[in-house]
Amino acid sequence: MKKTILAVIELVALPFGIFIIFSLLTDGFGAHSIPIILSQSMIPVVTGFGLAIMMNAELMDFSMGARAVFAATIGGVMAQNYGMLGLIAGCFIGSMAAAVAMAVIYRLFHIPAMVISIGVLLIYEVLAAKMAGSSGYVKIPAELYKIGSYPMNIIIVVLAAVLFYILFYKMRIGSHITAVGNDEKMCKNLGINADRVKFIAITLTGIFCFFSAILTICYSGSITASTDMQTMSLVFKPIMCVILARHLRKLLDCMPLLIFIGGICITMIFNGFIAMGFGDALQDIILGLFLIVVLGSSAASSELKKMKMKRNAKKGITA
Amino acid sequence: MRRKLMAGLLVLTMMVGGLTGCGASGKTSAGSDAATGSTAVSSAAVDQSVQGSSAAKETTAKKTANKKPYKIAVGLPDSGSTMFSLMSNNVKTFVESTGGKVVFQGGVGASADATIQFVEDQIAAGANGIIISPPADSVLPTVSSMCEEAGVYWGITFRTIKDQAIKSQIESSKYYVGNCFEDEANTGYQVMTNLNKLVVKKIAIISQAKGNTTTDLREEGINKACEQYGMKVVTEARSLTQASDATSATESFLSAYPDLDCVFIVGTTGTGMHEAVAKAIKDAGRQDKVKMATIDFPDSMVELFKSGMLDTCSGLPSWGYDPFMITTVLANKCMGTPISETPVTLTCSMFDISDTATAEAWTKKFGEATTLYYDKDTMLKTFCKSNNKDLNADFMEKSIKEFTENAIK
Amino acid sequence: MIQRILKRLKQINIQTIFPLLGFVAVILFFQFMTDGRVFTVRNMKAVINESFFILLATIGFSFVMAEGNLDLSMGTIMGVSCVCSAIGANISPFLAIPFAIVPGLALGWFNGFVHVNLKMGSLIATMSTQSIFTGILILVLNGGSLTAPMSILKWNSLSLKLFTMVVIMLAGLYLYNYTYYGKACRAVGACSEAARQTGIPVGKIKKLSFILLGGICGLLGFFSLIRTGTASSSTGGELMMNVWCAALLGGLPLTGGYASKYRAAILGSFTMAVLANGMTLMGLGTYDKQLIKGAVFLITIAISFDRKNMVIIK
Repeated sequence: MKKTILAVIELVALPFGIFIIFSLLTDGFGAHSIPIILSQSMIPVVTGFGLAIMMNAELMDFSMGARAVFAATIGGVMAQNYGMLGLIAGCFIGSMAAAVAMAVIYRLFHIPAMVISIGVLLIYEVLAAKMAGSSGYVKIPAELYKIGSYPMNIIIVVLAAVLFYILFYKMRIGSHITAVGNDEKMCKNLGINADRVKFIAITLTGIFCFFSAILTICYSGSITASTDMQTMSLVFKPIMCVILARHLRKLLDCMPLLIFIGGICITMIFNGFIAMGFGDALQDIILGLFLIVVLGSSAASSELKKMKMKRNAKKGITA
Repeated sequence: MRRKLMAGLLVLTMMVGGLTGCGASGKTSAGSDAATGSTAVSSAAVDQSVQGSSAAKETTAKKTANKKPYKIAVGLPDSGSTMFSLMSNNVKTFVESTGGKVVFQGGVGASADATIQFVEDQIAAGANGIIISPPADSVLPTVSSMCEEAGVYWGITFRTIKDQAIKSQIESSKYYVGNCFEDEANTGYQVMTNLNKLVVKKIAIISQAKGNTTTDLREEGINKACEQYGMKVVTEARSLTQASDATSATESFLSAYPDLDCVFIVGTTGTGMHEAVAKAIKDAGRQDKVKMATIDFPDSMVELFKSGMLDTCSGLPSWGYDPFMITTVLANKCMGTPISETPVTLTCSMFDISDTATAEAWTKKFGEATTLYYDKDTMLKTFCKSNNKDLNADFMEKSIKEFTENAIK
Repeated sequence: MIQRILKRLKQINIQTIFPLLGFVAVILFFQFMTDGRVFTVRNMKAVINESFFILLATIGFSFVMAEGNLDLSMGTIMGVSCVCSAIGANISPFLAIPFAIVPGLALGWFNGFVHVNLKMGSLIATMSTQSIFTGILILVLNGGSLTAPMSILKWNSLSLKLFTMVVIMLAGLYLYNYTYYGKACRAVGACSEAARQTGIPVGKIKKLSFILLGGICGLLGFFSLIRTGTASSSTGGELMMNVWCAALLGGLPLTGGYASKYRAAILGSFTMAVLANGMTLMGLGTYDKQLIKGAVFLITIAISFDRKNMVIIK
């Protein structure tokens, strides 16, 4: 119990520390920024849930952004005729169809998931662009904006988090996914059908893609169908969230919370720098350094310990 | 069995690609036929020249039948937003009506490497003329030497050559037909002047990455206005690709700067950005305090003006008019009937729209991707040197001026 | 004699030669569809220029990939090196090369340090460093771009590029297949713990690969400068994805190991260049090009992927 409390304190210290630093550095960042930070973290966090499932199976996926855009485009087109039902149905059908197609390709072709993700990314981007038409984007009716705003977006994220927690920790498939990710050969020997598990893992990402698509299109009121692999940049933030979460997992094993903390930290850095009036250049540098410091700190501290021990040993010899 | 199936799939993909390519190259009047029923804009000067032309009685279809086929490559995208589609539709209509073929390619102006590779590839693909929007003057000597070596004509759109040494080198080449540009720096300055009248002091900008010539020039004008009027650009967001990025950025601006006066969209390749910014301002309840300005007229301009979200914008009569005009110059050169023996420099002017009525008038004319600047016959009669002996650089400038004046009538 | 030839043909593994067959098929297909434009002098020049950057970077990347690592920062290293090269060229044209290569080596070393010493996965390590290098690039340029002296443009010749390509291809081949270092890279990719226990300095080998890739990207920065005369924040923007696609298309496995063949880097690079060039010759639209690229990418890798040597496919 004590250990858990300490772990939670350590966990909370990271985003809290970032918050305090930026609050002290600039007036434009403070308690009033919290709703914005929460709101902006939603989409990368939900996408991160889907990526976490893939990465837990040791699969890499760069196509989640393209799949979310594809699903949101279908949802947006259907929303114009069928309102909210059309939006939800379109996003769901689009995201699940894209996920199942990717899973089928993975099962059929037996090639690495990363390769498939790059290939399907190229294809889904074009499909979304063709559906969006000459304007290049799809708008939704104004009455649907509320889904992407407070409190609906919080409800969606909490729903996604609960679903993720149940899948990851409480269902057999979650355990199998973790097992396959750790040692697939061993799993095969234990009678787990690793191919089936990976197929299901990829399909499950479709659920979180659905949430991500709904949030993305409702958040801004429209979805832009970009090509030239631009949608790949949509997964970098979620990947950072997941990797941060996996790093922090040694403190507390609760992935939804950890991914959320990762998302909050990265969003605070971006907002903090905007509040300080710094341009893109410094934002990029500081984000990169932040990741290196946080993720590399444990290795760095053990390296420092080794160096200290060597120095002490040398002193011991000379003494 | 699986491998045979996949090998078959691969061959099928290549065949489909090949047929698509053949279909694309086989198109002659399909693009122009689609535009027949659409609104065309014609100007008084153009009408006068048509009446005065001695060749007016002869049908243009017969004239173009005798023209040698030619191919033009344009380094701009032909889809992805209404303005791209509008530009490509007009350029295609003109070129195909004069017996030519046109190909478009996006992402060319993004980097110097991409520009040079595009020119090289298109020369190898048999292009007779190339239009580029170069990211920097320093690529032009290389482009010029490649085109000279290959005997390919070329021109510049959306840019002027600032370096005088490079300019004199380029203009001495007989393969360089000229350029069409607009004063981006002045446009940036002009929008800021309008904002200053609205008592705007603190501005957040949404722009492209530094190094993009268009937005760099616009920001030059913005900075000049800031110094002159005591305004300040307090924060920025760059290279946004999704509408949700624009919403996030605007929320962050509003949160960090409670006294922010304006969000200025200087330039963006993403579509749907303006509505996203407007939504963020409205959701924050700051629509009465925070103004919105932009360069290049967005698709939803009328709605934004009606809702009071957009305060001022500046843009070309139509974004695609600049490349359209330089393409007519290039096409004439490729057809063997140049409009001028020396390179031409055409200037397009941007103008302001600050109210709903003007926005509606503009959108009525240029809001659809299928709109033609001039109907097909007028294009052929007016912008083909063989049909219009008066066609020269001065005539082109006059046409641009007339077109701009009539854009919001 | 004929029986011997037939016996030899039967022994050939289709997966081994498929990338080569695919490459030949792609060339013949485009040659047919474009009425013979592929084998014109001009087009060959365009293909060589297009493949030059991808090929050299893929050769460097193949060492990193053989170890089972990835690098997202290639393009930004090339951009930073190009800027430094422009700065050097403005002092003296002969400083352009060292000013390009040295920063490339340094940034490559930094990648290696973050991955090896700070024990971060290569993906997240290079994602972080890419972010840092991009910021440095924008700060150094301070908006806009840097122009090189015009005199440097005359160095941009096909013969220099061909010479450089051949030298680096041969050097890479020798290093990859005939030296301790090349074998150590693949041993590390196969099983780094086993490699460590056999005495291979795993950390040093990994760092060396990142340094090598950084150096090659630095050299590419120089070649970009002499080709375009300008260094901007968009230099090298597309390099990373093109190299990844070329490496995967050629058949380099993501997990590295002994299944990594040097020829995959070369075949994949040329196939990418010919595919892009061919689609341009055919006048395909942007959407069609991307759609075909995605489909060909998936199907080609599906056919050529070496499943026999990969027990587990991730």
